Amino acid sequence: MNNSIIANALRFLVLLLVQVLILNEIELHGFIHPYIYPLFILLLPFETPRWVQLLLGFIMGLLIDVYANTIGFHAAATVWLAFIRTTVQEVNKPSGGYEPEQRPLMFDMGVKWTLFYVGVSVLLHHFVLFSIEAGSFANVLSTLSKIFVSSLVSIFLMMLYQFIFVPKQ
Amino acid sequence: MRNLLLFLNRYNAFFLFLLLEVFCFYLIVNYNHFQRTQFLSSSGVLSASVLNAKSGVTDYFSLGKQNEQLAAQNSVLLDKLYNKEKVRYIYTADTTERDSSEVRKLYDFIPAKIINKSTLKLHNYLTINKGENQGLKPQMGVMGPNGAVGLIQKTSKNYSTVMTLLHKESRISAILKNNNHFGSLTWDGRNEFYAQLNDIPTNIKVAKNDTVVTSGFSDFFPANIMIGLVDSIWREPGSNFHTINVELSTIFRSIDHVYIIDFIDREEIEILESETINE
Repeated sequence: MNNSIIANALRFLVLLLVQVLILNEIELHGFIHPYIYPLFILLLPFETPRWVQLLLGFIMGLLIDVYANTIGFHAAATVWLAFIRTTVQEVNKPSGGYEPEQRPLMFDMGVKWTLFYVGVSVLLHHFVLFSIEAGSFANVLSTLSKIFVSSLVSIFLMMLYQFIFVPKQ
Repeated sequence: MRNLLLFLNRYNAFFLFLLLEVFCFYLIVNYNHFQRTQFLSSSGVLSASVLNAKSGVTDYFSLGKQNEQLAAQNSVLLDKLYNKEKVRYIYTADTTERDSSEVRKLYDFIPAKIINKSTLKLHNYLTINKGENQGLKPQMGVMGPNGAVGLIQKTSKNYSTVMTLLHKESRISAILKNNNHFGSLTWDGRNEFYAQLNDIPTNIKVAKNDTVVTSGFSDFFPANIMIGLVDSIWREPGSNFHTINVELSTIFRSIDHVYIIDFIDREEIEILESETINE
């Protein structure tokens, strides 16, 4: 349990720093904005109380906002992500259900499960985020393509992260 | 109450979610200019149209006040216009010792509102809401936004009556603007839109739509105040003068604000002229 808290706190810091220091500087064609910090919420243990997930999502999002000078955008999107996370997990439940000691990591759940879980969550997160950013439905097509392309890059980065940081157990 | 608490407890995650999202949107709208304007403009369509409709109604309530303000402003502008221009009076009646380039205040313009009027009689008068207390005296000229209106006939403390151009006894010195020939403007009592310009000799060419303005040869009006346009010209048999029908620029029926022209030097000139005659 303690181990898990430390691991998640560390992940929180690492993802925040990677996002703020590296990814925020990347703006491919002003079109692709990859985000990796939502992975923190996605990788919280299954049994985390929902209110904790929501609060953590809010805090994480707000910190990103502070650095990106977009107060509220990421907070709203990440709280939304924390909220739908459980639903996505339910939809994606293996036929036998989740084992008590399983974590939502690729290491525990496999590539296929993770790809679905991360893919759907990130799309939903990006959808909210870019819609808020666009502020109106005036340029829906441009917004949608932004969401789609950025999501692809974000999902790729998140999968890559999980390939690299394999828990030692 | 217990059920409510149970309900809240059961869906606590959802309510926390709602709470946080509401807070997030509060932050978004408060801290991001573009999103705020988007939010306000889309939600503002309704309020804007409501406000528009409201001002469409309430604007009428302030019309009276706005008219007063405009009239006051106009009197200031008229003041500037006629006192700056080299008015005929400077050359004809002003004393020679005065430097002709000096701009001296010759006229005061006092705005007033018409509170009563007639246009259909033979002797038509206006009643205006300014009188002796505001410095009005009989025989002062009165003009409206479109041109000459008449002369003050009688004054009381706070009101005055104006003999309009539409008055059988009215007689105003007028000139044809393009050749400076002057005659006197009278009214035959027939039509409230036309007055007659007399005393223009038949050797003077007059054309339809020539402009008729005040001459400035009287004490009442500065020169060049619009009176109207020549409408038709004819010659009475045996007369050496044209009779010219002038379409008045002031429509007396619809006018409701006027300016009283206070000629500052009038007394001085009157004394001078009466002394000259008495000699």
